[in-house]
Amino acid sequence: MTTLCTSSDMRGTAPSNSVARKVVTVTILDTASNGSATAGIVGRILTIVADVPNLTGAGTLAIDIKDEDGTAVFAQKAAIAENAKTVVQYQAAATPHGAIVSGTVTFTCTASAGAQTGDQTINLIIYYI
Amino acid sequence: MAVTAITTLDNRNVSPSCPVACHKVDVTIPDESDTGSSTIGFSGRVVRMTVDVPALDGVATTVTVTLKDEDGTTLYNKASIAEGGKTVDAGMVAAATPHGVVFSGTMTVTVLASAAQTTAAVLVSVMLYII
Repeated sequence: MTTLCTSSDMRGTAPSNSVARKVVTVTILDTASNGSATAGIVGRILTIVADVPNLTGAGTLAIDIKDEDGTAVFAQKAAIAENAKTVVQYQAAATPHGAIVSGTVTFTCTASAGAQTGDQTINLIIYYI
Repeated sequence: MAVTAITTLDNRNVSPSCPVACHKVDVTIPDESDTGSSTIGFSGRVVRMTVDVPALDGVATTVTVTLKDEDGTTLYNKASIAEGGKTVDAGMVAAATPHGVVFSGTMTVTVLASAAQTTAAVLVSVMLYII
């Protein structure tokens, strides 16, 4: 049972700093080693939970985030385990605001082992403020 | 120069610039079990929690509190929380995670005791402070 203790409203949400959640599905097609998907996001991406399937070949996954001009807005996140759900942090001491984006954002997932056999679906659960 | 008393902006005791929501999540560990869980829906960043643990069965029994998302992915984990008192933990805010646990949706709070509770069900309260 959950009980609201004190809050300035009754929704269970911090009034001024609520977090948005968006799921972006990226598909790496058969014989390809990477795939991309876009999403409109205005804000600061702090955390992404990457749901990575069992990839072809022993390897990991990398995530790149680019703006509408194709410019990388954050350093690539690599070595994300396959066949697992991994919490990937964009917030850090050096980047307390995470990945700052405004507009159409492209998420690219790349399998380190190269070409995949069959389509691979990766879900990115994006939390941003 | 006159001195003006500092007063709050309203009577809700809420910081006007950075409101904090506080939610109490009660988790029951059933009799003959070592774990229990409860869910809470919210949108925000968990920056602190206080865990109220009663006396437990077993010798020097501790509990582990885990915060999970809707898919069961662990977002935060705090182990070795002592029995018989309240423990404050702000470990989710660190150099690598200055915003704490960032979340939106239905969170599952799981409490795991280091020993099974064999006398009766046990209630553990987890207070989450969310900005």
